[in-house]
Amino acid sequence: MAMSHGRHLDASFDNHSFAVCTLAMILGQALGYDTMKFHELATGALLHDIGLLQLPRHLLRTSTPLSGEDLAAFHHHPQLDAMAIETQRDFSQTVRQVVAEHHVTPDGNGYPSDTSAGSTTEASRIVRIADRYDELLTGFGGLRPLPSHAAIQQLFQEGEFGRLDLRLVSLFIKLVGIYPIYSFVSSIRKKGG
Amino acid sequence: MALETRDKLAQSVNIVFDEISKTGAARPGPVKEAVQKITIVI
Repeated sequence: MAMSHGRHLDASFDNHSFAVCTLAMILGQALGYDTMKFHELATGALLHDIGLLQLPRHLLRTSTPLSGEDLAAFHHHPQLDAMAIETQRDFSQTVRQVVAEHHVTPDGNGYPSDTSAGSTTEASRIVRIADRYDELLTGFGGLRPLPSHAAIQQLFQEGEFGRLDLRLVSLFIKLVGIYPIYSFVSSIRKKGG
Repeated sequence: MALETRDKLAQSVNIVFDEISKTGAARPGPVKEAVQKITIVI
């Protein structure tokens, strides 16, 4: 296993992982997951990008499209995720699948390309939605951040185009669409009202 | 979520990722502890 020398990502990595974990749990709760499934989902979500900790910083900090070589390295991170937990028997099969499959899309695209879309777990598809939503909102991974309504719209379109599980996307939007994370709600009250 | 609670959660998460970054591997113990704290709060 290759070792990195100290943290080479900033707090945005922690925030992204924490946000994806929280969003995935919201969906898991709505789907009525029992305690074990809920913890497996949360663990997979928290660890879903740990392979990125092994990649050079510039791959995540860029605001321009990655070169072919860099893109290939970035697309390798699910395998690095899986390697980081492969020797630990206490991580369940679901957790292993989530970290390895969270970039596999229902339409058969995505990566790693050798994973069949039909074989992904629901937990992986949940984490994919949570991951994508946080990427769109925050710009994590070099994207241009979108306002919450645009992120929701993009998420729905990707569901319609088969890049996300549309049933889960629809539920997700119902759950977080009114007051998305990172939004602020202010109370407008007239004096004396 | 109270800021103090959020800070404690962030600390747990940070410990997990620091260790993974240094060793290249995730240990179930600290991960489980962080997840339990998150699930209790959420």
